[in-house]
Amino acid sequence: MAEGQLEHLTLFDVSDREILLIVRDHANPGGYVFAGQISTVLDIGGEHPGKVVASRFSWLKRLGALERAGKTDPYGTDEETGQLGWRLTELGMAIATGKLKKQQQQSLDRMDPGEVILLTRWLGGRVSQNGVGRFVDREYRFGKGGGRR
Amino acid sequence: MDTATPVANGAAPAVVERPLDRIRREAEEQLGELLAPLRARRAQLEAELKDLSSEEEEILAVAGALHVKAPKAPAKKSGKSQTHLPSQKVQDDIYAVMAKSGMADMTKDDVRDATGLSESTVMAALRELRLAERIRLTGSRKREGDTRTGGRAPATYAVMTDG
Repeated sequence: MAEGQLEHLTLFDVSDREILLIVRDHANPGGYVFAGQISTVLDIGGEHPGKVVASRFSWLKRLGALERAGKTDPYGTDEETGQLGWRLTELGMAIATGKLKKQQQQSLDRMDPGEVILLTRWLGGRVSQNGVGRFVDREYRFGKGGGRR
Repeated sequence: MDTATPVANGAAPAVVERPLDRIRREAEEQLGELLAPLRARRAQLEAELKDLSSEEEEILAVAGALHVKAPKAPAKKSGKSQTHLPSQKVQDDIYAVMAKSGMADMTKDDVRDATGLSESTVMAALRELRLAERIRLTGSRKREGDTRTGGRAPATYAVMTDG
């Protein structure tokens, strides 16, 4: 493995949003990408770079942002390797490309620390029951830790 | 299906791993692979925090012994920053260069060449811009025959146009 290559794909290396946008950027006509393909895009090192990407994709699938191709889905199978592809779900596309409205952004910017805490409490109650809550937690942790590449 | 098959000659029975156990084991291995770098990073940050706390205590102790106020942190300078965290102006300048470059994406070397800033400043600024989601990692750029990187493909970045 060359010096500086990514060996893992943790949140500290690449955010969920970045990964999902990379999927969107490299999708085939059926919307699918393949783990080996993305491992090349990101220059993942180690003995099993495709497995590193597949692990991250598996997490994103569990959180509802990606879905796996079926064996009969058009464009869903890599002709060379036989790998099944991955593509963005509606939630995944929203996470990748979503944006707050200007008025929403301004309202949030004007909040004082007490209001921010109340908002966080409300957010915890709103999203705790579904996969969105997991993404909120991951966004916060990535923001705290920072990318290292 | 039995997990142990008795053998007539008295040797230890062969253990056949059940599919569910195999799936569980593989899942645990994958989870372990995800956890390891997080724990390593946390340990590194905790060690750095401990060092910083020790340095701060030493400075305050000396200041107290001299009966003087603790020295203030130097004011941040504009333009090129000598600290690890680049100034907002530097970040904005790098963002502007990337937005106006006409390139689909840029490596840190491209940014360094375009701005004249040091590699460490560029890297720190790119990290801050990624955290702020003003730019994003887009992949890597294969560079044939480039001995500087020793075969490693440099990461590429682009301004965030989505969201």
